[in-house]
Amino acid sequence: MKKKIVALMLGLFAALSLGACRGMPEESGGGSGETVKLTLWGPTEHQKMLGEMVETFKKENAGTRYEITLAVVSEADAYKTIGTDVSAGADVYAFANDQINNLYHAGALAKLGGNHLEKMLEENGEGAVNAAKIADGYYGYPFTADNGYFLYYDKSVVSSPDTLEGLLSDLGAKNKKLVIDLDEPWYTSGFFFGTGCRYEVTYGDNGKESAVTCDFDDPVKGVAAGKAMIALNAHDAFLNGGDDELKAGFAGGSVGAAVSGTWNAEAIENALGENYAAAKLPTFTVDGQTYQLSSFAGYKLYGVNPTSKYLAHAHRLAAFLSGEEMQLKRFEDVAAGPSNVNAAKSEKVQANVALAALSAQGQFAVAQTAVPTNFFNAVEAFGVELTAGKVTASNLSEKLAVMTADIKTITAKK
Amino acid sequence: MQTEIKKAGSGVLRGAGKLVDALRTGDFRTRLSFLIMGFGLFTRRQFARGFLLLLCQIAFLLYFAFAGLSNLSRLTTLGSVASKEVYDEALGIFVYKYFDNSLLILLYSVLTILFALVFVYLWYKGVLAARAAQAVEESGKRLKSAKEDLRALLDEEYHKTLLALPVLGLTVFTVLPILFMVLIAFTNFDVAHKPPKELFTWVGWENFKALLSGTAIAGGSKFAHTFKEVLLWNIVWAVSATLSNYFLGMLLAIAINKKGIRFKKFWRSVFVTTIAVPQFVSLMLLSKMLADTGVVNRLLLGAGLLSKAIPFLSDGNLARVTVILVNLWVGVPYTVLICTGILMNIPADLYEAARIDGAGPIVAYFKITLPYMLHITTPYLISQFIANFNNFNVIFLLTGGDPLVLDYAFAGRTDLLITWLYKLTFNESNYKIAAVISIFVFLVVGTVSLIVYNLTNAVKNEEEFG
Repeated sequence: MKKKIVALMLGLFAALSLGACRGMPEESGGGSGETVKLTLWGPTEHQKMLGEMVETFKKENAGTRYEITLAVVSEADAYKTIGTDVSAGADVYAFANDQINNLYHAGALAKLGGNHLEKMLEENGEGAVNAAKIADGYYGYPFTADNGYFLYYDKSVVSSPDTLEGLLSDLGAKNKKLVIDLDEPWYTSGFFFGTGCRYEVTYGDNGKESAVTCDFDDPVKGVAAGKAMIALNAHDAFLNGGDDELKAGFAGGSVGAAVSGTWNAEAIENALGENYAAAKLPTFTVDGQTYQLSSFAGYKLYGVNPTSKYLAHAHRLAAFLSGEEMQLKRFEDVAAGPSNVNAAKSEKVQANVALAALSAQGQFAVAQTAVPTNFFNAVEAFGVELTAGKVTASNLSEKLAVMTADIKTITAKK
Repeated sequence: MQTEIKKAGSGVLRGAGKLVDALRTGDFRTRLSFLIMGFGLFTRRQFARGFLLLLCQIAFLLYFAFAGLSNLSRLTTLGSVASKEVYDEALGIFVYKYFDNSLLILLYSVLTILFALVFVYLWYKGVLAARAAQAVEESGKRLKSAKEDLRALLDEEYHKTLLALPVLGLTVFTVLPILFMVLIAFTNFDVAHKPPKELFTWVGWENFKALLSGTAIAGGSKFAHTFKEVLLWNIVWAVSATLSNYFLGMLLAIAINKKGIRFKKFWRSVFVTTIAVPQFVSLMLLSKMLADTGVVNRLLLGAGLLSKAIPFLSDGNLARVTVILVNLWVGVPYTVLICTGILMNIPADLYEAARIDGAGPIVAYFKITLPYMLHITTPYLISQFIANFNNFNVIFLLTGGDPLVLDYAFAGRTDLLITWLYKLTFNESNYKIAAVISIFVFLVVGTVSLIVYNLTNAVKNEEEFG
């Protein structure tokens, strides 16, 4: 133990002392003739594309000598990496918007202002703009709006993808499964949102959470969502599983439908061939009442490190990478759904089956913005207990109460 | 303990006495050494020692004036303004200015205090050395030259030369971080108070209270419950993992060692092969295999032996049993290797005498083998207990601490304190609680090992089995 803590602390020291040497940004503008050095983080599979984008950026800004270094940090790991030491982080980095809260509190995001802000607000859809908003301002440049989920299914097996009940009986008849990652809070939340449960975070003057409201323990709405999940979990045609299970299942023929996002589109299309289909999520019925299954609509954004030595240039690069032209290139290269309104309207994007389903689900989705700090931890614990059969009709309201109390816990009061 | 405090107290008194004596009986050169370190030495031609001391004094005073003092003065509050956000009209962006960084203030303050202690010690030694040099001169003898001083370091002072590096390393890499960690436990350093954007400050015993009596603090009120449960499981795990490995390993070794067992070398090699496969590979594979939709469950379901998957890793209690069993797989080979060597060393005549006296194999085991093994391997058992208490690898790679439960704060059923600590620091940035937990881990491990080690036969009767 000692060794690990020592190593941990020393790592912290080393990083801090390095950071301390770097000090404050002296000249954010970067004088003429000076080489502007920037670091850019992105996931492994996008390195080639990012390299090409950076070259285009350099060509368009030939007046300044740029030296841009690419490094591999995935959008999901941005906070884990930059959170330990902001000043050692990249100047511009991509992150999934569920981390905006933590990144903001860690001081890892520079606020947008001036032309950059106007352009960002003007060009992106409402959900994407809201995803960049936290406390008193906007802190990121949205570049994809596809971080959501919908239903994939096998046309030859499922004839009624509109209702959960129909879907399950179609699948049951052919002895196939529906895969949902029910113990992953991102998916679990869809049921709660579907019955009308919501949370809301109020931020104080200092930009920290001052109050969280949440009605996931509502005796009608919350209980209905819980009951639906208990019933689903007990159904023979249901399989609780993630990407690995559903991809292997579609390929092997044991799975006939799954809730997932665009990142699995290619694999599922290859497995199903002609029978590949996607649609909005189904409705579900509890105690005679029918609800539309909801979802999270997530976004990916570029963040700018406020400790960057070349802050203005970092903003310029982030704005460029999230612009319309680059979003279209991103769609063509990696089939990412644009957050830019014009790019999303383009014919090519509209013809994509998965993105069309995502867009149909859009009207029922809840934008993943201003999420309470403890939200995912609390809902995950609930989902894990539920899929393990520990949540039953008799203790449901008790478990919902614990989860809701956790969601409401404020980590950042003072 | 009390006698040690008395000893230390009288040591300080003696030191002060020596200083007063030096001031009283010293000439002006010795007296001036109180203010200018090394004065009494380099004016008596001990240039190297004298100037080295003077250099230390100058370096310390410079450090204190330029870094030490400003940080030390902010130690009580850990800073007043962390950062400011200003809109720059010309550039059209918000620019950031950083001021006080609580973490650096704390770090430099600790360093300053440490340096100050070293400085005081050097000053004390310097004054005494000046007095000693005066005495040597008065007696008409020749003072040692720098060359002779250096030579002494390789001869009668050799222990100092040898120990210098380890002591320095221990201070920098162990004492300083631990000191720092203890201090963090008394602050509110967490996700909402993170330099360089925000400041953190002193909160007294608040974190300890939250962990021990369950007072609510920012971040939740479940820390006390979680701590109790995780600590309990941690102890159960450490004891059962250590003992199960030890006894099963010993039994296997005895079996292999028995007369009449054929292919002994082959059996031993089989066990070594398991060691040859990197631990994390076996663990990752097993965690995939034992998952709800893993190979094991699918085979059993496919063969019609089961109607429902066995939740090896997803049911709290079963997962705890599973990790203990899997730990046998990665741990037993080491015990087998160690025991084999020792078993071959037990004098055969002991067994022969026992057999003549009519003892069966079980009696022989409890009267000869086990005492002998325990005598030699107790220190090994203790180190195994401590290693298991903090067995990060097995838990983290096998279950990641899962399954999560609602009534724990950021922990799952199989989480040990060390993996919980990891989650709190890396995922939740809750450094304040993590620091308190590590203090407790340190206390538990330290106490257990000291007590048990001092009670063992291996320490008390080193000669017994010789």
